[in-house]
Amino acid sequence: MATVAPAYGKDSTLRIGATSTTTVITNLTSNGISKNRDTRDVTSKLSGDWREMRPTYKGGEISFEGIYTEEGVSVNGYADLDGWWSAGTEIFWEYGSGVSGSRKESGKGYITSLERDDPQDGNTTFSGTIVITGEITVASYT
Amino acid sequence: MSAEIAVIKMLIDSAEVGAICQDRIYPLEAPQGEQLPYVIIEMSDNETFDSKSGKGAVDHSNVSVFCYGRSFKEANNLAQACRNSLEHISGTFNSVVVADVRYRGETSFNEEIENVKMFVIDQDYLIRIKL
Repeated sequence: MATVAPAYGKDSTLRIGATSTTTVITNLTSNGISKNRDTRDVTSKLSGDWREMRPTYKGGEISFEGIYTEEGVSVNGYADLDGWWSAGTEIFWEYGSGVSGSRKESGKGYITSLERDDPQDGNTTFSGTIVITGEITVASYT
Repeated sequence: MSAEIAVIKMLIDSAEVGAICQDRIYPLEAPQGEQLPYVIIEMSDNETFDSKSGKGAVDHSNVSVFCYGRSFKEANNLAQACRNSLEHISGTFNSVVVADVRYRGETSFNEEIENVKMFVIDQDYLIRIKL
């Protein structure tokens, strides 16, 4: 059996904004979403040799990296990200390719880390993390 | 290809380089039997930096500059002249916009071609080109 329609990472972007009208982060080179779930231990003498757990709170983080720029239109560039980080702004985010029928995940979060790197002989880059707050909504692009 | 064109232009325009080898600056190989000293330019790698916003705005090209001389001193003098003419130079050369040239190091060796012994300094440069 052949590999089934592998998705191309380049097509998946991260859109964010201070309102529900979001925009793609400028010059993204990588973005990722990581979900986690806390657990509670319900192991008892009735569990035999095995620990038993039950899921509790859900959460997640979104990571992103890009090439820093100060030229031209800096929509959702580093300056905007820095402003939202500094103000503790609750931001709206949307994750996916935008292709009709493909998976779209969205929600809210806070920028909890923002880094900038200026190497001697390479591009200035930036990276950051958004901690998700509240529900992640899963839908399809129309 | 763009980086080589720019480097050749920078060296041909250099009075310091011209005082040693005139305009004997060639891409990839010198004509057979060419008079020493001369310079050969070779690009070993070109890297672009596109993003999810679209095509890259800069390229990084690794370019080698081979300085050939009849003696080690002649090759070394030519290498120094090339370095003075390239290192941290920016501008537009043959329509190629060079943001920076970074000297990364050099090695030396000798060769014998058609019974002619020659001394060579091999310099490496990183050329940052604006697209």
